[in-house]
Amino acid sequence: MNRHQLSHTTHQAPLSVVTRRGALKISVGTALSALFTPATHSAQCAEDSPIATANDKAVILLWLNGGPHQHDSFDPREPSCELATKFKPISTTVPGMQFAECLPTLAQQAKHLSVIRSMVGAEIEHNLAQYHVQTGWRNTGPIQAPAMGSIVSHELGPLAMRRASADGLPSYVSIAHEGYSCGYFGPAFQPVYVADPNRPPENLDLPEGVSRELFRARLEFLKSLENNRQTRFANQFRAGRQGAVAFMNSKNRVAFDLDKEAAEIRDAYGRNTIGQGCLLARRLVEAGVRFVQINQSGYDTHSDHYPAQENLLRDLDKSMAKLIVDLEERGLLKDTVVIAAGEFGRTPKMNPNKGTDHWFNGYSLAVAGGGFQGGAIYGSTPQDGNGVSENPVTIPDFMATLMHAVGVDPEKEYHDRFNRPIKLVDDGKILNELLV
Amino acid sequence: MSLTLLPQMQPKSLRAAILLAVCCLLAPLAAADAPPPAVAPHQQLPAGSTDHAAAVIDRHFADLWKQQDLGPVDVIGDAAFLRRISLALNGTPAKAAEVHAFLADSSTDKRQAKVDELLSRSHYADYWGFRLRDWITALREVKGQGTNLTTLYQYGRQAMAENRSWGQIATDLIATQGNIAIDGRANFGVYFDGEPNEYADAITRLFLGRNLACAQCHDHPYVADWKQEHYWGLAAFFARTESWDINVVGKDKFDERFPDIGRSETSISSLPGGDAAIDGGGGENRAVADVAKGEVRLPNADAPQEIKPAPLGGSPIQHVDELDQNRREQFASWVSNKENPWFAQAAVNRFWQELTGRGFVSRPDGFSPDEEILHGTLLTSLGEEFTKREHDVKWLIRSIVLSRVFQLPHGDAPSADTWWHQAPRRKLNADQWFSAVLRATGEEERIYQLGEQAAPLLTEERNGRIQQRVRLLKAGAEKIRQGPFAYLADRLPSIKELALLAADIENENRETLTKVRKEYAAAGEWLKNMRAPARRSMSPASEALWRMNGPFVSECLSRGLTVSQIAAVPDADQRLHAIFLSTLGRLPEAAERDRFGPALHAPEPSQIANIFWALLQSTEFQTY
Repeated sequence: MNRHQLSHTTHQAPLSVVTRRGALKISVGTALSALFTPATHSAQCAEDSPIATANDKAVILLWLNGGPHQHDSFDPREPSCELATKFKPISTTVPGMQFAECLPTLAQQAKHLSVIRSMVGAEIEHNLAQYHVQTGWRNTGPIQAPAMGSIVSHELGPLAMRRASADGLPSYVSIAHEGYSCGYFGPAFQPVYVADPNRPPENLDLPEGVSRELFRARLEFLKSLENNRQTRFANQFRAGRQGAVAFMNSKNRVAFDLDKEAAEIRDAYGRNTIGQGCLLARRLVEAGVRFVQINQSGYDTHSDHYPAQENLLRDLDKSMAKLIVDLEERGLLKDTVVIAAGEFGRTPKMNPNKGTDHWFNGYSLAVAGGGFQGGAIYGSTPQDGNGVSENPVTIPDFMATLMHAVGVDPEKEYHDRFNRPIKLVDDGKILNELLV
Repeated sequence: MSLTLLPQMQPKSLRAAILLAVCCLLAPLAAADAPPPAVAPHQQLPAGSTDHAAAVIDRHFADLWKQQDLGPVDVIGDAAFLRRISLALNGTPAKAAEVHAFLADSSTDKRQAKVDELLSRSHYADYWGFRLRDWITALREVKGQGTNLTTLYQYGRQAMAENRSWGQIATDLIATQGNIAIDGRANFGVYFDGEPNEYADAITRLFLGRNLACAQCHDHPYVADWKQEHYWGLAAFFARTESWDINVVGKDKFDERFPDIGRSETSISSLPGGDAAIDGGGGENRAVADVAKGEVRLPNADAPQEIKPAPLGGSPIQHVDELDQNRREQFASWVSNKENPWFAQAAVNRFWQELTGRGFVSRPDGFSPDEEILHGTLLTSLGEEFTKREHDVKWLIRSIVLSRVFQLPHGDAPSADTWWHQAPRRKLNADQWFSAVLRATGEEERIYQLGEQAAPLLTEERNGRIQQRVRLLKAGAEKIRQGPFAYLADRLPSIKELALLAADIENENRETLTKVRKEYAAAGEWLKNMRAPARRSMSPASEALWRMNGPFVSECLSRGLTVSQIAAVPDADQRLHAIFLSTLGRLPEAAERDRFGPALHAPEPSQIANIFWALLQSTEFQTY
């Protein structure tokens, strides 16, 4: 076989890890969608290592789209004419740990929170920075990297394996955002998209005027058309439909139904996307979904920083705190990582439009649960907010730490079409100080 | 450099194009059953010229297949051919009536005639405009902020409609200065965010078929000939190009260089719903501008020295900034130069792969000194011929699809990856699937009919926009003449010619027309919203949910005209035929007749819809 042929066959070869876990998935009747080769991917798994030890770790990412202000949130300053923030620092339940005063409820939960105040990014533009934070890679060079949800979903599969009776549920759900790059893992590792947490995932219900009987009759017609065709595409479409129908019929669909929660609980989370999204995330993780991402948009306050920034942070405060308390009460916090992060922070100073601009050299993010320390602060920024004073943390550092915390080896290698090894996380240092 | 969308066109042809645009907005709508008339300016192909190239291809493979003892190699039948060629050239399958007529046609050259017909329809440009845009957006996972994907598409469609040469398309994308809201070509620079290396990297992949990205941070690990200096030598051609954001450079400076001269109205469309149905709007306030200063340096060198522009495999250009052409223009000249065989070969490979599912190298950007090229002699001769023919895209496409390789039956013999004696089955791309559902269900026809009814108002609006453009052009030309780039004013479209186009139209029944116009606008808006999920990368289960339960298929099925038209057919057999012709472009086989015939005994629309739905979900409908 010549080289050329080789490259043809290899880039169509299935990911060995997928196949292996695919078999496991069938055994529990879930996520049939991952059964077959992703349609497009530029890398493939070289080693045939056993799948990572199945564990109970889950991740809930509160994605603060646009970039929240570090001084208005987890790295507060005394308001001054020099700086943008108007919020005073307030004490939290952890001595010496202060938040900005628009996070009063989270301040009560500080014992669960690790705060990194010394994040250093590399991209100043939204799309590029989001790709960087979501994948751990800058969007340069030939590599198409998978986002953290796709990685965790690919490496660990659905929690369903551990929690019986989670049939039909996906392993990765994205709320109010279609999701980021699935990279070399292919579209099988795209999230299920929930446009609005108050409504079921899109297209899960039959269209108006189509009863279940009618749907069944249509599928019967389709079955006779397909006539047990075993071609590659017929199998792909069939597996997709089976996954779809399993999801449609799953009794676990109830996990997506927020009407099952008492009105007081829904109020307590906040009647907005981030609030109801957090509540939905809790229900999904309980049911067996591995990775849930909730998008909260609007942090990109280039003009009139307030009140937009304040409103978003106050919503976040209420929702995230309630989520942490709820997970804790249900015994799920120890296994569930809750992250609040955007693609960067914002300039310490106001611009002439009373707004703030993009800022990646010294910004904050917060993590709770899932093996992260509580009541911990890592790194610091100088008084004027310009840069990092100690312990800078790069985006790959954070990614490596997160992967390690959920039981995924950040050094795990995949191979591109030249057989070049690509690590899941490139050059990231695990911050053991932040882990229990 | 030019500020206009159509620097290559003389005023006369510009006027012709605008007239065509006005006509074509209406013309395809007038045709309910007949195929839309040929409205795109179509370059007449000299008879026999492509057939010669197709014969060269056929000879190459006939010898090879004989040597390899692969047995007799057939070509597909007429129905399968019509479906494949319609999807490949117009991005949509043929209508039932067209299939019928094609099958009944007994002339021996009907395949050639059909190819020519499809290449001359405006659907050809509509579809290939999307292909060109997809080729560009696929070059980068993350798009630059503010890219205007609508004008980028409109540029591509215009270029394909005119059959602009591949060399000119390369020059357009490489060297345009302009405002993206007005000039779609300028988006290429914005998409790559004004980063010199991203810009060069993308062009090298798109037009030379070579991917040097690995050499950005270090010498290429697998291709000994590609050093980091080479990568940055290409980037240096773009060191003096900036992506301008009006909010950053300031409105005065931006307007001085890029005054608002209004949108060009020359792009030709037969998209159902008109240009309102183009997905992916985007930025308005950005432009690509060449400036007097800027150099690139190696990102990681200890003693960072400036890297001078150097073509791949060549030495740095002496006195590069003292020549007539600016750096980008020099790069464009080098890339598309007739002496540069990579350019033609990369194009042949890209179109071949797009049309047949297989390439001479494994990816459109898969060429490298170490990569073995399959059927290399054929690629060389096609590349030479493509160059001789001034990089004529329609000639290339026509040569490929008239060859036997395009017309092979599907098969999955492993040897076919090398000898290409069977065709790989392929999934319809997002645009093909979208158009196929619209056409099969008759939703396309319903929307065309709305447009036809609203035509007087659409014309009136078009005239209004032309008048507005004339006003803007006058003011813009004045502004440019007063600024430091006065010579650019001479490159603006002729105001006189434009003004002639906008005549007043008297409308009766304005109230009724306005209502239809609103309905037509809503249809365009709906299609735009549906295109986005159709294009989204989804897991197979999510995709199945969208195709089975989603609003696009179900509303096409309930609103489109086909189901009720079929229900009105008195004969049960004819109803079954119509269902199969509309969806799969062929008549039912015996087993299918037995299975579905009884279900269609009564002309029950809901039962017709059920079978129709099943056919839309079938593997055969979703692949080709």
